[in-house]
Amino acid sequence: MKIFTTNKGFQLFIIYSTLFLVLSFNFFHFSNNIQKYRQSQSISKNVSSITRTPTIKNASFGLGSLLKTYSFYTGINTNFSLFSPDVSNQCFWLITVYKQGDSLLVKPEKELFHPTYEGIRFESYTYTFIDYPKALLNTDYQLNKNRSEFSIAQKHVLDSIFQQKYHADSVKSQLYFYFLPRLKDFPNTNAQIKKLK
Amino acid sequence: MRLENWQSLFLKEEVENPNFLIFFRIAMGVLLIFYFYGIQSNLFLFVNNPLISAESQRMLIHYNTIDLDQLLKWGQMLHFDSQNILRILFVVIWIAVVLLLIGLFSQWAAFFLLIISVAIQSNGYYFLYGADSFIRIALFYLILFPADRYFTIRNRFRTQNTNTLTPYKRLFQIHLAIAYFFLGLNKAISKDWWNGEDMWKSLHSYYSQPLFDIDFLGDYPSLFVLLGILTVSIELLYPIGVWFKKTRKYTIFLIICLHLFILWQMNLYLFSTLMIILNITCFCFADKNKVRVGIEN
Repeated sequence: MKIFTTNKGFQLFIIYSTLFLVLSFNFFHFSNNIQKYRQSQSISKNVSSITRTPTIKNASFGLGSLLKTYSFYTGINTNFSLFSPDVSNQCFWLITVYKQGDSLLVKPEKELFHPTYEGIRFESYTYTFIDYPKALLNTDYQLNKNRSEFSIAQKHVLDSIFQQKYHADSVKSQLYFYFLPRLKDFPNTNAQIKKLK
Repeated sequence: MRLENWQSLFLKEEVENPNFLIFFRIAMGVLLIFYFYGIQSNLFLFVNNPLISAESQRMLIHYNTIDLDQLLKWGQMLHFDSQNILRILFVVIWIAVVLLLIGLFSQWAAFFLLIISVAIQSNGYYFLYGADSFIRIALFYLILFPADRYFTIRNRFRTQNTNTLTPYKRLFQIHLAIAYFFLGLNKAISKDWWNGEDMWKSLHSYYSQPLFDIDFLGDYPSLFVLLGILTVSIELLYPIGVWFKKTRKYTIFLIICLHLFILWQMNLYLFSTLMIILNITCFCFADKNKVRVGIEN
């Protein structure tokens, strides 16, 4: 580890390579986000028609892969667009909404659990609303959580879905999806903002 | 800026005060206790028939990382069962965290913790968020910095080497400034950060239990517009704000307020604390030793 602090040439190498990679990754992510944002603007009018097939790539052993691996280890590849929710509008879940008293019950459809894509379904499915509550007809929903926003804190969501999958009869009331009218619609809707617990 | 000037930014030995490093090492040590405790308590998410299968997660990782499954396989080749391997792994993790905290072989401890963090994160790709990435960044800098040279147990046994702290501190500062700039830039391209919608959304994340209910503020949309613009502006202007001494303390104050707000309203405790630690490390300690400055004055 001495080399990190004693060798000036090595220090400069670390400095320049880190800066180069940080800037490259971020420009790349930024241009990607612009593209995603444009797409999301054009598709948001027709949400139900979106389908996307997950792209699956295998890791290779070229220079590019080496740089990616190094960048992942050092956090250099961090996408600093964290928490730009509307950029991630492409991610939808196939769900059904039921009204239950004052609350809403959301039920993921069986098609959500496509056997081929088990485990990666969150990034690529559309959602449809059955029994769409009238009070919210003019509002937009926030079910477009993509994986960049996933965290352990959201475990209960995953939990619910998996329970839904394996014990479909027992968990209807355990779903924790959350509906939020858009700010511009807030004063005009009677929808209550509440978590379903 | 000419190349010599640019290089002198890193190589001119301006940073004499090691207090930032002492703070960084100890604060990260404490934070990592919570981080690995969280992982240990939620290991079922990552291994042994996890919520999302490791194969599925691996499809999305385009990096040649050593993941937790790989480590378990290696252990099983030595006839350990996976539970025992995990127990041993966490014993070693806790030893590494303590070594980092007390400053004994802290660079090696950080190196080990980085490898293990990546292994765990590779098995839990869906559960990653900002804090995980910034933990990797922080561990990377703990490898680069001679963190066990100052205020450590190691000093009792070895004579202290004089090491220049400037290069990596400057790199760390620029790295953080780039991070905030791109955070701001990515927000700025979306109209919803300018009309308050994203601020409204952010404060209503379904996993958060906010300190106080802000639904009544929905009747005052201009407040969210203002907060949204303020957030984008703070992040976009962060590099300029911290570069100049006159504006540095105001910028750091604003960014720490922003993270405290995130901590309280969005319950992102780990992420917010980590970002505050990084900001304090990079910009809240004077480069020169106070004693020396006093003498010079």
